[in-house]
Amino acid sequence: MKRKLLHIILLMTVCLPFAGAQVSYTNKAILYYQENQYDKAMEYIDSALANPKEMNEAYTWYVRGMIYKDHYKQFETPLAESRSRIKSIESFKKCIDLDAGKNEHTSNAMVNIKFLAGTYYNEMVKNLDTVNYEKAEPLYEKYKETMRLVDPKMDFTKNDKEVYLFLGAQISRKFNFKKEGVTQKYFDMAISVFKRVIALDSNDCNAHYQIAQLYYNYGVETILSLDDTTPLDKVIEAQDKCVALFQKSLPHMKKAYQLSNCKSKKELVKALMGIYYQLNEMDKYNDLNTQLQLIKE
Amino acid sequence: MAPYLNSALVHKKLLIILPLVAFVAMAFSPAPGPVLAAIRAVAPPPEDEQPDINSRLKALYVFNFTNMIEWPSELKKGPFNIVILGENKNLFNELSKYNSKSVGTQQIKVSQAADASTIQAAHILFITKAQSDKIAAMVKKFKSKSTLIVSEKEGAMKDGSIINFIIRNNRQSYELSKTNATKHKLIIGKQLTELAVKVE
Repeated sequence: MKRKLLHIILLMTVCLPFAGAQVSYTNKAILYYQENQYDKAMEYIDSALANPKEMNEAYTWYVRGMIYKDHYKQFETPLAESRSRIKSIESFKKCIDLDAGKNEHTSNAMVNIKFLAGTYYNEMVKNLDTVNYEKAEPLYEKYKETMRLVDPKMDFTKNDKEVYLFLGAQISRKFNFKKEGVTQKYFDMAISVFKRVIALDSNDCNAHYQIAQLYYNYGVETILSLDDTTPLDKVIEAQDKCVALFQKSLPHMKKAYQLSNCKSKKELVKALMGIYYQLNEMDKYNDLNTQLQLIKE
Repeated sequence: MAPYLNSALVHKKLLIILPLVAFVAMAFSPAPGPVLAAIRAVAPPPEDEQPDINSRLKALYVFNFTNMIEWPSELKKGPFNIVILGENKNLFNELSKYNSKSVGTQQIKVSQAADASTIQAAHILFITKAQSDKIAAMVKKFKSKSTLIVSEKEGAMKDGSIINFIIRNNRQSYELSKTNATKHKLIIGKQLTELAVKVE
């Protein structure tokens, strides 16, 4: 009974403004939409786009945005490549463009765009693991692209840093130092992601620490992978590689130590000592050891 | 003004708040793997449990020496003795990994001596930095026993050391005295000579 009543009210609401005229494609689409008949609703709202009387109405585009949004939510979540979501975003954007100066639908369209942007963000977060991390970044880029539709000047720096740090951390977990080729691939990828954080903020302690740690661990593992079958020339070769990695680690750990806002001073001093020790720079190691004794934490 | 769809749809729009909050909470949580890995791997003072790369390298060098030096035939029987003079826990642990390995038909036996007078025989005698003042005495004691004297002190070859570990360009390297080796009746392999940073 209630449902019937709702339909009558809806019909009146929809049809009254167009009394005397043929029911528009948009309104037919709304009716099907209310019945959860998405295929029909999409068919009619797409037909409205071909109708000169409706195609330039912000409202038509707003309705289209809503229909495709709910279709996405009902049937295409969590499909990263959802076409309905893309159509919905495009429709809300068109609605905003056509609504310029009138502002009848703009604020609602913006809320919906933000919602859809949020779905990209959340899917990105779900994919930030050691298996699906490669899908994460395109989703994040899609999130930013969508958010820029409502705020072209939006500053993503803080978000970028957080996402790249997290992404770098996930890629780092893919390391298997026993498999040289695989290691190098993920190692390079992780370094590159953390360097993007530094490009955004050269004083990001975490990024410097993570890079230093990656180089250091790689150096250590290079030597730990040698065994009694390794001839002396290969030992020396491995040592050269290891020292080069420690030397790359050092400036980043020094910077993290200088910034000292991502780890405790004690941890950073110990980390720096570790690098100097492996580099056989015992004077610097001993100086830091003295400093370490004075730190009360 | 065209009518809005219905109030229920407007409410649906508020859902945006929830997922974003969920993300923020996750993004701020610490990344567990690498951070822990760093604590594990970084900061390896010598007496710590962390891997001591320098000791590992020295052990690898010493093990390679066993195959690159020719000892007199009378020393090619019984255990192959590697003795460390002085306290170096990390080096001892690293060298001890070769205890089950062989040099020819001889099984390697690694030991550590705090007191030089207790050492009776050794194919390789590693004299730690702290015991460097005993190099000359050890050279004298083991000259007739064809012991390879290995040290880690600048200028130790003047005291009679045959292979001396030194640091060059942040690297663990070694210098070699063929003259001292000859005095101990040891034949140094060509590659061992070529890979030394300095040969006397």
